[in-house]
Amino acid sequence: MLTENQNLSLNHKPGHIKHDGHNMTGFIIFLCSESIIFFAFFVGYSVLKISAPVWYPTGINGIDIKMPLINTVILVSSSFVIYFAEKYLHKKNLWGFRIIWFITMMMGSYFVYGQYVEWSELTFSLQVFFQVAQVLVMV
Amino acid sequence: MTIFNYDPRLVKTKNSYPKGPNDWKRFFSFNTDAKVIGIQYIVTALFFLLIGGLLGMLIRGELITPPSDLFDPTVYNGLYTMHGTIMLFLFLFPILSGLTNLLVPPMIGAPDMAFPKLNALAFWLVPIFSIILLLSFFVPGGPASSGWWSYPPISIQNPLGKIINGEMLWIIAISLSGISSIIGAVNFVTTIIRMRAPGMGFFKMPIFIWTVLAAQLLQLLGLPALTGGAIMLFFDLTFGTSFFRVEGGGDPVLFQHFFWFYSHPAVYVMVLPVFGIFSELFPVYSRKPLFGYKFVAVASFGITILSLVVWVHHMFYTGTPMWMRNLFMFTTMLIAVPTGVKVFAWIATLWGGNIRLSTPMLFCLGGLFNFIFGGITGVMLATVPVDIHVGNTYFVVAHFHYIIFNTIAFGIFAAIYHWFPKFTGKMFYEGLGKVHFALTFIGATLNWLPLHWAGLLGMPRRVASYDPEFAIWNVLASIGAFILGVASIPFILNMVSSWVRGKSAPPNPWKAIGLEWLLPSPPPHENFEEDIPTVLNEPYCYGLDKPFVEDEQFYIEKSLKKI
Repeated sequence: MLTENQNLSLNHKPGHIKHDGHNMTGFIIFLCSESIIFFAFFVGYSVLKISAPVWYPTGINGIDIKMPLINTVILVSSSFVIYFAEKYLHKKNLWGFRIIWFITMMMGSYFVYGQYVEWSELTFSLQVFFQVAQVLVMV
Repeated sequence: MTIFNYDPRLVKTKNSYPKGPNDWKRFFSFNTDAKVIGIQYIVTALFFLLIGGLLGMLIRGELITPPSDLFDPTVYNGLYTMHGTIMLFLFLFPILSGLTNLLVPPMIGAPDMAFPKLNALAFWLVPIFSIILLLSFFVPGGPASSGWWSYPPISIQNPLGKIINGEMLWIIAISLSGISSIIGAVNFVTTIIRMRAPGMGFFKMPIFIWTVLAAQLLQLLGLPALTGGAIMLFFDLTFGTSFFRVEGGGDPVLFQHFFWFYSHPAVYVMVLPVFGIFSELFPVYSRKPLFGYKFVAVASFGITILSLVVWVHHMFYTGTPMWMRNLFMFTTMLIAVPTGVKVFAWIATLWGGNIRLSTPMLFCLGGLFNFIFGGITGVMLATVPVDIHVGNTYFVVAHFHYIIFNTIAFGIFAAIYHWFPKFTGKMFYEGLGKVHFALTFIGATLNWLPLHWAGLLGMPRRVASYDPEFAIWNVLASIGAFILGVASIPFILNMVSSWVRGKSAPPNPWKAIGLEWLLPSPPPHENFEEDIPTVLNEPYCYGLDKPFVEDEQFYIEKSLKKI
């Protein structure tokens, strides 16, 4: 109690109340909110899957698991790698930062490549490309 | 864990509007001052109230006679869709964001919002998506016409086969509105959690701050579900996916879940700040402390939590299994408990009070009266057998207009009148305000009360032509709607004229207790600047002789000096 009171009296100098670091609070609040959007997608997926008489939809014979798994591992681990890059940056070790940053970029590029391969193998995505092409022609 | 040391006060002092804080052009610039943004929001929203009201009067003009003679039924579909969308997304949400922007920083003793630039961004998204929405009147095929809830399969039919159609523009506008609301919500919640004046613990915050916190948390938890649903709907409509298309294995009811998971709580997002306004104004105008302050405060969070688990009551008649109907009937009725706590507290506050019937108080009393009525029809609608009987009739229309206009808009008008002197520095004309109230109350009652009977007799909603037996109720309703249209004239006259040439307002014209009333009218750029007060007691200590802040006399004298 005593320390609390002391703190209060120390802090209470008008004009010297510092509100630093709202960014972290705001960011955490935003993250919680944005996770709901993915929750919506996952709920949609599971409802469609549960209520479908046959899974997968007609014309699809199952989706490749191996490639997405590799992609996921690379994507998730790249966020740890970039964390170390930031550590080096804070230590002012520029070359360490550059090398690890480059590794992160390579992992990102591989992920994009993997996505390209995955999507180009899906038969039901053709309609999407067809329509996008139509939009482009119209514009 | 702090990434940057960012003090908005240091950044802000530099980059407010360069030509001085009192230049009128600041209202048309990317200004980061919450008070400017608040007024920008409110004026924009009132403009769209006029447009939405015009559409509403066109609808009532069509319905004054049984056959569809004024418009083609297809045009009528577009009209009610746009009326609902404009009123909710371009009037109610922006105007409440505006009031929140104006009131939250002064009420908690903060200089500004936590993220001033994000705040300005959230506002400037409003004109952008409103232009997109209004443009949809001019695309081939007309605007979206599947109702404001945009259920598939109707919403994804796209009869003309064009890529750019009214429905697509509608979805884009709604998604942008969602982004704007999320930015706003992050901002409000961070501000309230981090920037309160010293001594202002959670149980010393004004109720308005409690309700804003509850409403914005609800916004954060619910809105992304609608955004997710809207993205899937957009893909179904534009790229031919089958999330909601039955022929491709999709499930149209899934969209209803996404939609109502947000859109039912959305009503609470709108009504909670209005509850806050009621709780602020009743003590001021009856000179009594708010009855049961802590219960009223906590009840807001009761509403937040419960409102996340009631959405299926909109879907009782869309093939919902029986166990689900019963469950959601139960949760929906539970929500009457925290709401009832609030209503009881307001009435107990009024009881034996020294009531002043000025314009803001009249709007509050009218709003409370209508809310009790609309709340009771809400409990009726929560009952599964009644809902299956009257669902999708004019009874539902009458019920939600009683909440959305007769409660929420009444509360908003009350708030505008109550805080008008504070933020413009001018007094409004009391007589014109009372004329506005009388016309609004008569118009609103005449508009929506008769529709309850039409609904109970079975008149379906969203039809351009109807059976002549419902004619009498519709004629009454249409007359009410036109009176409501007329009611906007004294309001606009009052606001414009008193802002331009009204009497200067004293810092505390209503003798209210609250941090914002310790500021000069209008408040300076950073509210309390260097001398942020220390809060000692809970608000609303009318007649209790408890000081609200430390050294109150200093702030009163300082606010008087600024005139």
